[in-house]
Amino acid sequence: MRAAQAGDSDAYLQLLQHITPRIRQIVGRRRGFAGQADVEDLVQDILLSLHAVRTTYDPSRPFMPWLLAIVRSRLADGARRHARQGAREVHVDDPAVTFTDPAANTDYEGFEDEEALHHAIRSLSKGQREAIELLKLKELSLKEAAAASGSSIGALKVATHRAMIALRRTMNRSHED
Amino acid sequence: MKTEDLIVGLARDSGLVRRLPHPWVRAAVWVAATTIYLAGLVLFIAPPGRLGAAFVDLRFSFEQVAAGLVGLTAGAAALTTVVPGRSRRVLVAPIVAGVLWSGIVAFGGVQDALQYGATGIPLRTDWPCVAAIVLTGSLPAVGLVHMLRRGAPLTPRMTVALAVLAAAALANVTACLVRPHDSSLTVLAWHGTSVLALCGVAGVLGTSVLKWTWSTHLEGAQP
Repeated sequence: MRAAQAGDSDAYLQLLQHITPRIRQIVGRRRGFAGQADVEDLVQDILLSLHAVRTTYDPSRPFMPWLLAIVRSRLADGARRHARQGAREVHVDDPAVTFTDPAANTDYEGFEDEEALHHAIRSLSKGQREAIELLKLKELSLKEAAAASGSSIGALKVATHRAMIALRRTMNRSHED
Repeated sequence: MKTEDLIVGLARDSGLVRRLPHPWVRAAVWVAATTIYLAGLVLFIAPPGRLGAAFVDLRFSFEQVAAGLVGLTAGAAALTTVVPGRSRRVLVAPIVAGVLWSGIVAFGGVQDALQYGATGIPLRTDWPCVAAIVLTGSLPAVGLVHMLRRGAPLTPRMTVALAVLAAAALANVTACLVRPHDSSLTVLAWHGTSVLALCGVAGVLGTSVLKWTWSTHLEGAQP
């Protein structure tokens, strides 16, 4: 560390490479319940902290107590952060999304006739067809679709609305036939 | 980012660093600068003849020396707490100095009681001194916090509370020198409570004042 303070980056690199497994071991022991990614985050946090306060190291004093004081402090900060996040977050099971859970979709009507749908889309006006293709088939956002088509967002919304009414009418008619 | 990449980045960022001097040396520098600033204020504000009259009373002189000791030891303790691996025994020093200061002031209170009788002690509100402690102590406190930011915020609440104790203790000397007080109990109640209240507020704000920070070009390496 003395050499590192004097500007020897190779010595500093060696020092950091030497102490990192030790830091990882301490963090893993103290925060074993956390995942590997969390442990590695803490190790990196400690290395950044050490780097930030390397001016405070006094070469006439032992290195390890200096290092361990930083490690303890950052571990305590990490534990506080973890407790705070735990208190604010509510864990819920993944709820079944209505559209993918058949049991929750009593009114859902799957369409079986893809060819009829494609035919209905082809029968739309150019603007409506373009709106449906960009927004519903390619699933672009309104902004992206507006940029791609050269239309305004408002015009796209109107075209989509009218296209959906026209498609519903066409599909209902084909079902009745 | 991988830890190995971070290590390489940190090594590349390393250069010649200026080591921090010993905490007591830094504390002495801060106390010297603060004393010059506060002495200037006292000479500018104090009524003519006030200083000569004030130091005639030996107990008053000891009280101000004890308050100065609180300032020095609390400043040194604050500067020590930002150096990793340093012993916390230094925290005993401001406690001892604080007990000494309050003991001397309390002794003055007993003298007042003997002089005026228990019901005749002239107790007054002392808002001007509270304002004086806050206003004159602000600049030294800011200076000390600036010095503390060069260290490691291992215990930010305690560190900032000690820094404010140091600045308020020295500002208290200014207030005592500028304004005469009829009773030591007024000093104990108003000055002592103000200093403790300021320390409490500083302790609450400690984590906002002292934080771990690193150079912006390392932000990309931040986990």
